[in-house]
Amino acid sequence: MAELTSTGIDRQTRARTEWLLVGLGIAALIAAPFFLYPVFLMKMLCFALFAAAFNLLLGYTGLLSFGHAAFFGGAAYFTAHAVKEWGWTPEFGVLLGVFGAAVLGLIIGFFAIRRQGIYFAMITLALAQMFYFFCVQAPFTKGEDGIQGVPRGHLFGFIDLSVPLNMYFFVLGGFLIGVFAVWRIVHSPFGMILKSIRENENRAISLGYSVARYKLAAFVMSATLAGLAGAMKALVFQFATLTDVTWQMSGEVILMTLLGGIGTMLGPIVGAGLVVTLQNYLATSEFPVTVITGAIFMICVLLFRRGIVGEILARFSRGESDAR
Amino acid sequence: MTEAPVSGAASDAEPRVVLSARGLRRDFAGFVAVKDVDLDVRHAKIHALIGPNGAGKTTVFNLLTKFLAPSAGRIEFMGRDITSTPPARVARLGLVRSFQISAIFPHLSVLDNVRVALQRPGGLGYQFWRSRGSLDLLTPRAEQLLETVGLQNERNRMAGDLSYGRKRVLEIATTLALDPKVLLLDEPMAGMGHEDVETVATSSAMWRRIAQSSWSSTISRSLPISVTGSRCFSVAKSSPPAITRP
Ligand SMILES: Nc1ncnc2c1ncn2[C@@H]1O[C@H](COP(=O)(O)OP(=O)(O)O)[C@@H](O)[C@H]1O
Ligand SMILES: [Mg+2]
Repeated sequence: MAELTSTGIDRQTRARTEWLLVGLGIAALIAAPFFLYPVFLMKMLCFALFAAAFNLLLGYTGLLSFGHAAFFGGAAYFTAHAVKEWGWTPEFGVLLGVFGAAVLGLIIGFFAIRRQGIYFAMITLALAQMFYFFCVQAPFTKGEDGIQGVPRGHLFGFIDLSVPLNMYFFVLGGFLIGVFAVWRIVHSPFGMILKSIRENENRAISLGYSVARYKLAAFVMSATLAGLAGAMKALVFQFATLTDVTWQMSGEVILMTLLGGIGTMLGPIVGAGLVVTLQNYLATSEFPVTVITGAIFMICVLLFRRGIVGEILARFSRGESDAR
Repeated sequence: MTEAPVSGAASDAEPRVVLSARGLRRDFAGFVAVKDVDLDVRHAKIHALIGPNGAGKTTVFNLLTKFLAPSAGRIEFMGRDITSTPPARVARLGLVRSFQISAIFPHLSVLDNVRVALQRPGGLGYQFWRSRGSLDLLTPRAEQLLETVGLQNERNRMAGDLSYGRKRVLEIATTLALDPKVLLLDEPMAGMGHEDVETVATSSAMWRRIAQSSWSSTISRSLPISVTGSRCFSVAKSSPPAITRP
């Protein structure tokens, strides 16, 4: 009994510490644009959300998708097109991108979830490549040039997003909503079933769960949130190009997630921040960026297999990584 | 492979058949693992499926629960043809299995392992917008089940950290959580013997408790149990029946 109570108190203190950290984190994000270059921060937030969405699938459902660029880059195209060609307001442009990513997720997920492991990854890769070639060919994506000069427009018709700070807080809002959604899903009854599928799929089936449906639902949710990230990125940089639908982009999000730590809430965010920062600093140097990030990735995998955040958490709480 | 429908009590009129298979067959790329199996599982009876290693016991269970598709034959459960029903559906109908290799969720707590099993019957599978606190209403029942199998003191431990024998017992608890109509246990005692003498001792008491509760606690509950084992389990001729090791 004494043991039970002490773990109860432990858990309470931990929960309080966690909320404190979340509060500090949000405060830091609110203050950040007054000290750092907003476009850099916004890029970081978009990729952090992308990685968090990806982690919902890899970390909490155990599905390795190699095609998430389709949702990220696809949403960027849809949003850019709606805003530039149809003159939609940014919020509706983003919603269209998100919706488009969800539909893409439903289609790709439908074909992929029936397969396991490496076959699942291969099918997502193959279908995402098909989408890439569609983007190369389709007239609305403007081929190699991409959709350029996308106006940021006025949020709700009256907040001018060409003002950097306004745009930053718009992206921060989207980021927080997206990450909250991931957190909510992971810590829900549905999230428990996802975890049990990750842990032992056959057992979940024998308990009566139609795992294909759960996987498809998780896939669509992950694609939708990846779409939110891509849609915002299109408005931040004011263009949508083929870069965001390439397989390299799918690989990059895997790298960010593994680097930070799969199956942790904070890991993908930290991983994305690290990779984006590196890319930013190395962009001006003569080192090839991919070689450096690749090398760092290898070192991290060799030194801490759980990723940076995963390793820190494991050190603090042995054996309770699941609670996160 | 022999099938020995061991009768629990001195035979009254034979109880009705709840699960039956006719002409069950399964080929693995030319190798016939299971051939012409006919079997009937009767209401409120314990049956044993025995045979040496590789005889095809696990395969029969996989076929009955639809984890494998039969190459030929027909399966009926509670008067309903389930030959082409998907496995999760079969489980929802009340035909539930355990696995030869203990099947648990290693990174969930012992309590959560049982609660996951209770979620679907409790209508809490797809709610992605609700908090995990909404699962608290399943806790009393989960604790009760843990007590049935003697795991109440391990509830907060990570399931993967349990000893082998206790993992098996946890799997039994999650299986019972589904309130199955027919329970198929694949070598439930395997591996409990040598390293877990103490667990075995408690486990035969546990079986008695499970059998008792399913026999006498609720009138509506009927729980035919099928057991496989390469070692022969004798079923005591007493009511409620208990499985003991020879
Ligand atoms: N998935 C499979 N693929 C090929 N052969 C299999 C498969 N599953 C079982 N077998 C074969 O079928 C036979 C019966 O196996 P099994 O049902 O596991 O026996 P038991 O449970 O009685 O020990 C064995 O010879 C085994 O090698
Ligand atoms: Mg077997």
